Amino acid sequence: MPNTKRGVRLASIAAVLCGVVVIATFVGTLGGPRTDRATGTALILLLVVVGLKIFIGDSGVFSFGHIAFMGVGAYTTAVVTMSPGQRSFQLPDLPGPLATIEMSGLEAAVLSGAVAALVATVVVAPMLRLSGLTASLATVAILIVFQSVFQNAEMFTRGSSGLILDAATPSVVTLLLWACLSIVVALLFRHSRTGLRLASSREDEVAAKALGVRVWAERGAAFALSAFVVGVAGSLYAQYFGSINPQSFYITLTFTTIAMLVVGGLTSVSGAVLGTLVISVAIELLRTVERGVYIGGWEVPSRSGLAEVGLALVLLVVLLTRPEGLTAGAELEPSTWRDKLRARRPPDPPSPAETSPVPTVIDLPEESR
Amino acid sequence: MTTIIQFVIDALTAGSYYALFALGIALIFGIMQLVNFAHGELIMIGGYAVYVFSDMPWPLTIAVAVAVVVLSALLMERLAFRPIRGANPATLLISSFALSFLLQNVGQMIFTTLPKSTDVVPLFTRSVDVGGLTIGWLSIVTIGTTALLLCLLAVFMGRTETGVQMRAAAEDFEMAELCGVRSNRVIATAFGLGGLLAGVGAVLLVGQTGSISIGMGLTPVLFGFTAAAIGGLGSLPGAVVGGYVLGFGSALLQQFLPDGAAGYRDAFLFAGVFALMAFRPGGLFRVAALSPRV
Repeated sequence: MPNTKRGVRLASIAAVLCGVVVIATFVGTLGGPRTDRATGTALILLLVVVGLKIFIGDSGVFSFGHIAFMGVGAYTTAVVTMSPGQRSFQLPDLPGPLATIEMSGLEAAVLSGAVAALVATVVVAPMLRLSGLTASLATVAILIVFQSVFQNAEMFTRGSSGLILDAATPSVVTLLLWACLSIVVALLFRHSRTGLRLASSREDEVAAKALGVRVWAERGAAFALSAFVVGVAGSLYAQYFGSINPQSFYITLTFTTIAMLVVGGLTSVSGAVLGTLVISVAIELLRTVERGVYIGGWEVPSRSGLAEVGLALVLLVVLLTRPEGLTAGAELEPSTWRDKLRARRPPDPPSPAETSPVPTVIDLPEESR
Repeated sequence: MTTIIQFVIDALTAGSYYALFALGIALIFGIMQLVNFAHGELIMIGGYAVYVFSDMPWPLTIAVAVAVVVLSALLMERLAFRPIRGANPATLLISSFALSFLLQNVGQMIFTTLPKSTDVVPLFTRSVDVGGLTIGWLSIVTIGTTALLLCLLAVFMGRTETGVQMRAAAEDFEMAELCGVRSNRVIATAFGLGGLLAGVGAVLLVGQTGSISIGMGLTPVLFGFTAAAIGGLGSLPGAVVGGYVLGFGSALLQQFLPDGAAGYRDAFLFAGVFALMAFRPGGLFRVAALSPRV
């Protein structure tokens, strides 16, 4: 019985989150080509953030290296989808079968995810002994190593000049489907045996070990799975934007996606979704302000950091006032809303500033306890 | 023989930079468990301060630049890190990440993304011949200044009351507080010292590259982190040793990598760092106070 109950619960959470994403996408595509672009970007970033959540949120170990796997996915896709003419022009030195393969967008996305997961598995193996902060710093080393490889492995990446893709651009619906799929995968993983064990090690590593959780195995599995999702996101990024270069997969994107995850709340898929939504909207608004200055007739280059400044300020304010993120680590669960409304007690620490579009869970304990 | 000496000097110069940056990071980490990404922006601020005040006579430029950086470090502590003191290390890390991003973009709004160039000290570009060996003055100044600062810091930490309090706080913050160590003062001192090291490092860095840009702090801070992590996060001697290990590693790679693979220097270096971390997770100098107690 508990299995059916759990299934219903997961399905309801997934339905709510996918609903939110679908509505946001619909609203986003109403505003013409520019907001279309922003919506597509947000959906790809959502995939990255959900991927990050699978590892960071469930294991509690921060990784700054995942964008490297996104890069791996993007370059894989670029190499396998390019038309023969472009390939002989941009990458004349590709070895063996790589010189002739030509894949569809979907095949490339799956392959990119698989390659990213494989690379991640190899990379993470020596890292599994590390814990906490040292592990985080080791992932910084991963990011730097891959950046250096992207810059220098000219045979595959054409170095800093980057690659231009000529395959078909995926539609918003394709991106939407991938995003919803990633949400479902993340929820299923979180409530699988491995996911539950991993979450227990996040809450108390020593106690989890004492109860027989191997921690390293769970972390390794989560790392590979999250690298798969992030690799797919990299593939979609390459297909959607049509050009990639090493700089795209470095500190800025790492910062943006981690900010989204932290703002939403690390430990829930709902957090990943809300964080991506809120930050994407904020960035788009700030970009409009930036652009407004340009339209006004004066080109003021000194304003060009405005969106990023705003982003950093939003993140700092959230960290200072609500370090657990907007969702405080809980999922958006329809089944708890009625109870919440009924049992609405006078708020003990009144905080009128916190208004969320959806009744978010505030003082609810983490669901797995 | 001369190549060996040349090599040692190159390695020591690089190592000195890394040690300066690593030490600044380790000082703060030891006391408040904060991995300060924004340390790189202190270097950036130092660089732009040199640029802004470059009209003054050079000793004054240097003094003002270092003072500006120390002041920024103190402000950073007061405004950004004091409110979240005691939060878990991940939250602290992300906050410093956000702060770093904020400062970079504020810098970009003020100075634009175009790199600036300036000569701090005319002497830095000259070199001296010793027995058939050409040594840049900058190398000599870098190695010498770093050695001097390290000695002063060692004396400060070992002999003065504040220094002893800082070490006590790094050992066990709560206990030190209970024994009457004033946390605000100790942490502010750590930031001030970190700022001093970053300021001196920034001046030397500008002297070396001659150019100042928004992202100039990133590479030093990444090297600083890894040096600190190699040495054992939070250990001051560890940070210094880690810095020099990184310096020698990078000079060795520079020397022995074949031409085709020269671009991969950082990849090899950081892969080595990664391996070192995996084999000695606590770093070369393990800090007992920071390992989880069971």
